[in-house]
Amino acid sequence: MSSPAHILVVDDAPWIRNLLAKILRRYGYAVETAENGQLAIDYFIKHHPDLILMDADMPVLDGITACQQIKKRPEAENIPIVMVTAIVETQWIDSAYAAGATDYITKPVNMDVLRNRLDYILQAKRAKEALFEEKEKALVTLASICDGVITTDAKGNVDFLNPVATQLTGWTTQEARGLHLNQVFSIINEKTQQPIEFIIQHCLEECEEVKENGTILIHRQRKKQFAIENSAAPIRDRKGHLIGVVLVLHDVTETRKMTKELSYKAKHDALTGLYNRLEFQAQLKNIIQSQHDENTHHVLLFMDLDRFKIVNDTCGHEAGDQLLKNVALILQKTVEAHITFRKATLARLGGDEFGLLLENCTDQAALDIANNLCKSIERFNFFWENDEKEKSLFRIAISIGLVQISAQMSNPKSIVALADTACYAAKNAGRNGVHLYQENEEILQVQNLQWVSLINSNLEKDQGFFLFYQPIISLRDNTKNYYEILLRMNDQEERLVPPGAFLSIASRYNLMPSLDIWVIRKVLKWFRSHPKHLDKLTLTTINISAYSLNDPNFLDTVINGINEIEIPTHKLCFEIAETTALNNFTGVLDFIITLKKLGCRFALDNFCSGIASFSHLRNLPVDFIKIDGSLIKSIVSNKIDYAMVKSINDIAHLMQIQTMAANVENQATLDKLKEIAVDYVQGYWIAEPMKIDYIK
Amino acid sequence: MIESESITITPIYAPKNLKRLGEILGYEMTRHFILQFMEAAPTQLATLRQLFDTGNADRLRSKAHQFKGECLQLGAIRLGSLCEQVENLATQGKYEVIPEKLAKIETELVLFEAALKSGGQL
Repeated sequence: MSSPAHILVVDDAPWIRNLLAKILRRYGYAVETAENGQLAIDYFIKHHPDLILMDADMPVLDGITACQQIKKRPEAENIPIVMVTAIVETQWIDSAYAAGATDYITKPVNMDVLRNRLDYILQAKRAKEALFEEKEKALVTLASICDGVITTDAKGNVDFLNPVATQLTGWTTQEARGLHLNQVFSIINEKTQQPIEFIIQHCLEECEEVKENGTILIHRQRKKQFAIENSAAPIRDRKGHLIGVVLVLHDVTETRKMTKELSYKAKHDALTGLYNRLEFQAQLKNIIQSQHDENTHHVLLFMDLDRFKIVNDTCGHEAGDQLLKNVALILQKTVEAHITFRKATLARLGGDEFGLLLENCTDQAALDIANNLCKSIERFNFFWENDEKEKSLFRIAISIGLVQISAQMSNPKSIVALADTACYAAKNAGRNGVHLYQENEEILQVQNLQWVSLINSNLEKDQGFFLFYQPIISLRDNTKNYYEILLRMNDQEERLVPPGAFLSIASRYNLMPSLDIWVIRKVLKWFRSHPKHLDKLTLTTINISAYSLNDPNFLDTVINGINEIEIPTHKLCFEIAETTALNNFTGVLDFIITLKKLGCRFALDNFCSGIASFSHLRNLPVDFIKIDGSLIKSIVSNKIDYAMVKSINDIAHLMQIQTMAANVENQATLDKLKEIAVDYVQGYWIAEPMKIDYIK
Repeated sequence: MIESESITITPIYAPKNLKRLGEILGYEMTRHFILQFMEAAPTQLATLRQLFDTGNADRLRSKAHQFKGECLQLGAIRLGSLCEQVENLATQGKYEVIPEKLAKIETELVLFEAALKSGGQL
């Protein structure tokens, strides 16, 4: 049960004061009294009664002045003050209301009128307080919710903004009140970026709730923008008449950002920022599905980096990742520079493979772009410094396969596979090149298989392959008791096929281990049957391919072969390409250490064709390095190449490693090599390769 | 004199007021308030006379106003009317008539008490 209302009765006449107090108590009120205006003020400050019943004409301080002073106090905003007076002149009534009086009652007081009037006024006060509480709760609720809330009147003029709405718009309620919503706030369509109006117009006209997505709200100071979802709902009075609109702004900036990010991540490669394989295939599928016109040409490029694995294996994945990022950027810039009107989709398909989809593009235009891509990558020098401040410089290349997408092609994966095949062909043709897939590529495939069949069948025959040798001369003493073993194949018409024609096929179809084993066995067998020659021989070098070193049985087969024949193993030197050593460092090291225990020697072939890593050289116990022929060829004309060869030679000697120079094709080159003091030379100027049977 | 005439035609008191008070407060309590009024009334009159004698017009007006309110609230219509006349005369500065009015108040108090007694209120 609620406590009775607390009333202060103020009258200078003690008899009336007591009478009124007694009667009001009978009515159920809690009553206190005061005998003049000043005492009434003092009482109000201390006790905050619910209502004051105050005589107007009193000594010390009259009721009107006291009412005025009480009403000035902020806490008195809602206290009803009822004046009691015999004076009923209009002027006096006006001044009583002007002083803040809630109502008045005349003397002599009709107690029934008094009771009803006080009941009504106190009821109104309680209703007002309840309304105020409700409003406060509503305001606190509005201030606490995460959405922006704006209310307008029936014309769309702003009434109120909650704090979140103020934060989103930059407008406070005070600033915006009375202004039309569309004058005050600025929104644009997210897709078109064009200004649009808030949806309240429809809400005002049709009196129904409206929702809208895809909107950007621009902050008043234009510094910030928010992605919002907004809804407008009509506010109706008791009779159902529209009295305003409540607009709710839901800030979805973060959600939309996350959605965009997720969508971006689903379509893009995290490392390079290019499209990923999935998106590339989706774009390709779209092209295929929309390709109904026979005259529309699209081309797909499949790109594979050459020598990427070396960077990854020698400097780690961090370097490899950085290289891929750089390559992606180069490809992107080159494509942008050469694609002015066509649509191009560049993607990282995985590892060091990239794809490029050129729409409405002729074969020739695509070839031009592919060649430009090759040049751009070839020109790029990748510099890497690891945590120990060791510096490395790499030059890489890219092989590109192209396939024209015809109207008959319907499977995206098959198209990518054809481009991959063309890319492989480009690699086989010597890397850093471009190969356009032809309709007759399948015929070439058949031809390749014929080569495979021939190699396999020759491996079974005694005369299927022939050993050749190319002398190597020691520049120290001009002795010629050194040579490199080379291989030639007998075709079906008894013609000798050079290795360039069949080694790529053998590599592709995993025949290299068989060929290397064939050579080693054949050489060992030949030595056994030519003991006098073996006595005179100082050193013979035999090439070992990377594929053989990856074969788990290869090392055992070589050891068994050597053990079967009693041979001074120090006369056997295996040549391993520098790139092979870098690609499979552990395997190569294991191979070298094992065979070195048997006495065999080793040469690092094609040194400086890749990166000429002396730090790796330090860790590989090789006896010789064979400087790459392409470098030797240019030492006469190119001072830098000369200096490089000289440096390599000097460093190798400091490391107790002897040097060999291949591709010596003229006297000038030989003279320069003598000047540099290379240990051994080899090349057509020295001696051409000859059948081993002709050896003297 | 209009005022004298008006007094003669006006009843001494309005029994309805006291009846309603009795209904609200009970007759004992109402009687208690009447007695309080009657006991204080000579003092009230004496104060009015003293204020008149000392020439304190403002306090005289205020006191007359206060006494008027009490009289009217109790239903003593004629007493209230006489107090209002004193209040107005003090406001207007017409002091010469005031002693006469104070004398009438004294007479009216006696009449009022008699009326209450005959009406069974005292």
